[in-house]
Amino acid sequence: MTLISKEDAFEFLKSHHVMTLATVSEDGKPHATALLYVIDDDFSMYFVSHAESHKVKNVMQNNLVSLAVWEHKKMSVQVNGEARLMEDQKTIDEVLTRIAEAGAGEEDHFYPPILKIRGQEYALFKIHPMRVRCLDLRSDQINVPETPFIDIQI
Amino acid sequence: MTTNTKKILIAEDDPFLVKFYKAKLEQKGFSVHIEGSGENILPIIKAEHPDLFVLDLGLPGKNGFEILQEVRANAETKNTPVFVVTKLAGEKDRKRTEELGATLYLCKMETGFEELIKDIERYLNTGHSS
Repeated sequence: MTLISKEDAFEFLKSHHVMTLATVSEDGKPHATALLYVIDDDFSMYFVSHAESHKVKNVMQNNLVSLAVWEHKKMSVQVNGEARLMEDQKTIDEVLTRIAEAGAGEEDHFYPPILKIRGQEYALFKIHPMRVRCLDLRSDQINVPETPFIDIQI
Repeated sequence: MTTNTKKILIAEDDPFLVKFYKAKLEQKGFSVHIEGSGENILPIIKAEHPDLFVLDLGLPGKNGFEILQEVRANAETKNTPVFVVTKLAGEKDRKRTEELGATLYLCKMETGFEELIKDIERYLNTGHSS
């Protein structure tokens, strides 16, 4: 098994802009959704959603979230963390711009799902990572079942 | 990226949508000015001379129909191409924007964002709205 460094994991997450985010509803029902994100140098990740969406309702009552980003022949990263609602308007404006630019910078025909949903009120969240785990997919080697994931210290 | 430097003024108050508009169109080589309110559109058009004005009818500050009427009534701005984008899907609204001189009418509920970007690109590159 090859080793994945913190820098490898960060560069991987920085080079991607779409994650699958899992939240849990008040009555314990899981909810997974694909959405755009951007990442800061300290591994904090941001996502935006319509304020009335399921994921926002879930996070507002239970802010523990889990997410995954994967690319064939590269890496699979799982992050567990706490999502916190951003309220500073300047920060919101800056991060929304970063997210929009990240999404717009994907392929020419790439238009994220958020553009297909009506509504003008948005909620921006910052995910503070508590655990980051990586699976190295760069080689064809089959990973040892007991230790397939590498914990990244952040 | 092309070297196209045509200017687009977009009047739209959706805070995420406008940022996506701007990023996507700037990547295509256009210069994009965003305005979130309908109050100061006319002076901006006079100052910026955009090659295309994309107008959301549901802007805060001033009614979109009124803005379109003002743009068409002013000698300096009357020839500015205007794409009207709206959540209103009624035939009555479409007819009214046409009567007021809209170059193109697009309903957000019927036309995807991707189509709007294509329409903008097509118009600015060829001069044809569809």
